[in-house]
Amino acid sequence: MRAVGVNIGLVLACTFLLTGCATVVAQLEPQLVSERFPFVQDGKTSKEEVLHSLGEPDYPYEGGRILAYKMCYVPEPKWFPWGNYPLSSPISEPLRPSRALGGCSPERTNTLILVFGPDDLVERHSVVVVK
Amino acid sequence: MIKTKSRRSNAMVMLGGMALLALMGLGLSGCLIIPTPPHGGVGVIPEETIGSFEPSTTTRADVLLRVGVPAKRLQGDRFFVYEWKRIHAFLIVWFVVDGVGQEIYRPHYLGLEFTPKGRVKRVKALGPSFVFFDQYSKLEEWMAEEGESPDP
Repeated sequence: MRAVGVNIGLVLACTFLLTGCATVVAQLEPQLVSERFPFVQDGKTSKEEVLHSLGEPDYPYEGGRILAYKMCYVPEPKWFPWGNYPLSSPISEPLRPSRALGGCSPERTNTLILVFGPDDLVERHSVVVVK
Repeated sequence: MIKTKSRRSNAMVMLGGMALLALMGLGLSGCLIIPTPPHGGVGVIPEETIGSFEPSTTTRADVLLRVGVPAKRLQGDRFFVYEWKRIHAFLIVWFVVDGVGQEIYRPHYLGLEFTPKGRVKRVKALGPSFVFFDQYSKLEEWMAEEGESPDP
């Protein structure tokens, strides 16, 4: 009976230890965003350039004033649009379908958010990650 | 009104009884469910982030820039619903001298209502009230409530 109690305690302790950490939604540090998306600059990059580079957005908001792209991060770092495969890219590596890479689970999916001003230039942008 | 309340409380008592019976049944059959405070989880939106959404100040763009795209967009983006799961209990199954544990995840919701000008009007965060009760219907009630009152 005592052994059963000890075992239950061990199972509980292990389960607690293994599941104690949470992944939270947070913004990627601006410096890392600049490193990974050098072609996106507030006040300079136009919507046309973004559409040319990344293709149609996964989620447009407010009549296209805000565009959201699901991105898949794979180490090196390289970023790939989740469902859009543009013909040309300012990123040196060719863009490939992210699903085929096998390392892009929904938990690893991050989002590039671009907010445009009245002149259709990027006003603000961020990358929201699950970390 | 009183009749409705009484019916509702009867239903709650019945549900509670059924849950208790289910727990006892599981316990007798070698399973045990241990409720825990919410912890762990994937894609959790921290409380401080939720607290940073200020009605009539925070815009839809601010929300998207901070927490990304919502799980649901309702009524022409008047409502955003975010969803994530956290561990609320452990299921322990034991055999003669050995056992295995499995965490039980339950959904959490964050509802945001926007004004026609794209500013946050109301914020509602909901977690499960008990291990098995999903709160999405409560969130739907919350959305319907405001639908009845005029926009400021």
